[in-house]
Amino acid sequence: MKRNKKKSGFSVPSKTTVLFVLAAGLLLFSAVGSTRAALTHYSETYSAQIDVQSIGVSLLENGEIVSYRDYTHADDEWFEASGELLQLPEGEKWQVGRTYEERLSVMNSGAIDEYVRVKLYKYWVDGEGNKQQQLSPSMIRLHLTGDHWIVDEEASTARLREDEDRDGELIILYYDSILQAVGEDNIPHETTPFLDAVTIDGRVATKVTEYTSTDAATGLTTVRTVYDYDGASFVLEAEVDAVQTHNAVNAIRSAWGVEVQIGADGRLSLR
Amino acid sequence: MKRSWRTAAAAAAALALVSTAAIGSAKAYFTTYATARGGHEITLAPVTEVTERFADWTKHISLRNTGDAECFARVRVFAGTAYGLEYKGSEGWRQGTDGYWYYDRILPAGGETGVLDVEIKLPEVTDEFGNRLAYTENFNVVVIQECTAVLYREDGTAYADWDDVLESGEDRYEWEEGEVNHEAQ
Repeated sequence: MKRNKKKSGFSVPSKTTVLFVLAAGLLLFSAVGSTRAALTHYSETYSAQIDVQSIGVSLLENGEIVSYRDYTHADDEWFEASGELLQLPEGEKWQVGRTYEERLSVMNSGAIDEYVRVKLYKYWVDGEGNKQQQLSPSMIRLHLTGDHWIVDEEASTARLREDEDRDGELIILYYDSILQAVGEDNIPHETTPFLDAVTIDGRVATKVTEYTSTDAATGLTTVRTVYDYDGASFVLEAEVDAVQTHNAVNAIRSAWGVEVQIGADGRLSLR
Repeated sequence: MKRSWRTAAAAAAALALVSTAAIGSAKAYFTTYATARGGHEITLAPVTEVTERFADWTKHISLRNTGDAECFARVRVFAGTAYGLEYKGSEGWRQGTDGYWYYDRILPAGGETGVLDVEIKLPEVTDEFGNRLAYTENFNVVVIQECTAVLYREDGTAYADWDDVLESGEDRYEWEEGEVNHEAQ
């Protein structure tokens, strides 16, 4: 009896305590939510000075912004634009074999530091924009600088050296350093160029198919040579990805699906 | 005792649910991207047509680029060994070392070369007394005109690769009732 009383006396306060803890916990977390909401509400006031959530990135072509996508936390809005690469002066045609300057680099147009990578796609299309798989992407020669940019050779499918068999369209490059946000001088930071020139290989003019026909009336034979690349258009696409530097290894794994190492100095390398 | 453990477990589960509710947002990372693309059509297949006038035993040859691509062009005329051919180059034409005459300028789409004159020297025919007779034998004069795509070196200097030749054509001449008859294919 004495024992029963003791047991009963213990269980009742314990239940109450548990319910109290639960209620307190719920209250506590609901308060956190409010606090977060309050911070979000007032964050516009901070934004001019510490805009910790505004990420942005721009692609530069020969020093000019050609596309960008910037988040402005104060307005909770994305600002973006996408331009056209490789534009020529009016009336000019692209010349086969000629090397054109094409300096592509990346600028941090946001408010937080970031790591960046670039995916380059090169391929051929017909007049309707359909990909021409039989035409070689390696005829679109991209001169990569290698200056602070690491080529992910495993993930890339394009021919990176003359002796390679593969001839895909994709090259993936990682900038090996932190691309810092705009500093106190208000000057945005920019990477070194990852590409500085584009050439359509002159060998496209040697890729031909010959058709022979003989006129029955005259007996004359005509050999017609058709260039395989005639009328095709080459395409270069650049896609820049940026991710926060905080918790970078996990962030890059989550956002890009790759394993990287980050050195003490912030230097990025592929695993 | 059993009941209190159940209560405690339920409370712990409730707390766990509440406390992990924010994990989803905590795992979101700041990312962005920017894209751009560009490209150009490649035109490689030049098409040229020959235009000729024939007068005073001279062929006045010019070529017109009727395709969409700029090109380089060259011409060569063949005849039997008994017939002489005398080229008279005009502006833009130069004699190569291989028997061809080269138009040394880029022929733009729709453009036309200057005129290349080729005089045909007929063999002399005389009777048994040495009197000169009219030449009445049929003979062929074959004109080859070729064009090739304009290629560029890395520095932008244009050049022609004559190992890649596109088209060939022939012109044939026959005597018929004392008149010259011009057939062009």
